[in-house]
Amino acid sequence: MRRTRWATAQVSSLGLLVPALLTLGACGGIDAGSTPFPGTVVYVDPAGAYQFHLLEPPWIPASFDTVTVFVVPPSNLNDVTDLSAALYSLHVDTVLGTPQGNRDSEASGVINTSTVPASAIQLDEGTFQTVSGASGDELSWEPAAGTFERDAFLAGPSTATFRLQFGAKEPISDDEMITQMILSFEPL
Amino acid sequence: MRLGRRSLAGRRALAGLVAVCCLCAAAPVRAAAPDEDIDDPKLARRLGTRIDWISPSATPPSTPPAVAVLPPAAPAIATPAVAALPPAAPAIATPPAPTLAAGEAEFEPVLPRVQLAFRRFDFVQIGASESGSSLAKSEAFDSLSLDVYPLSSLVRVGLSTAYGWQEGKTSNGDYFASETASLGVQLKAGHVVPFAEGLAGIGYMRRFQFEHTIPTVIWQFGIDAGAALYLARVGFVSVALGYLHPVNGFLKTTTFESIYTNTWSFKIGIGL
Repeated sequence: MRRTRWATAQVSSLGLLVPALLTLGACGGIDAGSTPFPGTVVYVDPAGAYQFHLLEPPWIPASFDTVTVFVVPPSNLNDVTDLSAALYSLHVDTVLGTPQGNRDSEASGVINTSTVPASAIQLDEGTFQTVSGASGDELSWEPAAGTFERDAFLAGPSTATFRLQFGAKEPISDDEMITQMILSFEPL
Repeated sequence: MRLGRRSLAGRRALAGLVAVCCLCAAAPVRAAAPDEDIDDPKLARRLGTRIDWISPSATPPSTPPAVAVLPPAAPAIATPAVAALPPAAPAIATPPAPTLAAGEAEFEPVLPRVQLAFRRFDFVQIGASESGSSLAKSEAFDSLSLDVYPLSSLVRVGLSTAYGWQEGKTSNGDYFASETASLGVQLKAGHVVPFAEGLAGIGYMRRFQFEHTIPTVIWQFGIDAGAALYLARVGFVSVALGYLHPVNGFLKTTTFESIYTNTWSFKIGIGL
């Protein structure tokens, strides 16, 4: 049988593929069908108040006035010095009251401070339950053109409530990557 | 005198007529009689033993004993008897079947040399979950591949160059480009060529996470089983069901991590 140069090159490439695949195959890995939040990093609050999972990169922790904020910088930057430059941001803090009370009060504040008629404001409200079993309430809206926010409230220790404030330049009310970060949040 | 001559001639003619009649009348009697010697010793010496001659018209046409008494080493004589059998005889009805089988066996397809294929399989979207679940969200991939078979006989060796994309997202989604080698067997079975093959491949995968392109590597192992349907000697349509083990490797902070899943795949193609 006559072998062309093209066929010879293809068969020769098998010699490179097979060792490469055997090497990679021996690396093991994480079963996505049974491992929670595969491929993510666990961030544990230095004060030991909470932990959650995030993708790092592109998320990175950054400090603004001694407050830790998680940001996703633009593709051409490694970090951001101005929070408004971040593509995505997350600030975690605690507030007093119940998750639902805080969510309702924030919804009222959005309507009262808005410069557009209340009927034109699109508020998305919902409830959720984290993987650790904590239940919470959330609110999504668009405070200004091209700016989106999504806040999640979870019951914390005693009377405190954790508030996760997400900001983005893209709609995030149904973003399943943001959803995973919320579902992985766990008070310690 | 004249009258006497006429009388002699008439008597001779009458004697000849009687002799012919006697011969004709004696024939059936001889035929039915067993072998016997000729009475006249002179004739017996010249002609030998008298034999029986059985006239065909004297034998009943469908009498089985006529076939039974024939010698087995005389097929030429037996043929008319077989032809006289009823039309339901199996020897007459058989010939069409072997003719069709021979026609089927004559179809010699040109085994696959190149194929353009579409495959669909499920993977996972890293960093995303559906509400209420801690597991990664399922992410379907569609891919187009150009498959080349440098060796294609009973054993076939293939190389597949593929481009795949996250279902429904032509931009701002995940995609990959990969090269896969396959080794399998195939059988010529007329217009259908069933095959089974194992495959292993590696490539680049772009993960799109939070408006960022995350470069990662993808590799996979799997098996495909299916069939190529030939409508002509060259050119086929193929369908295959596969079981894949795709793995996605990437940098997580400063460590390399890989995530895998096991999934079914469906592949269709056209080729030469």
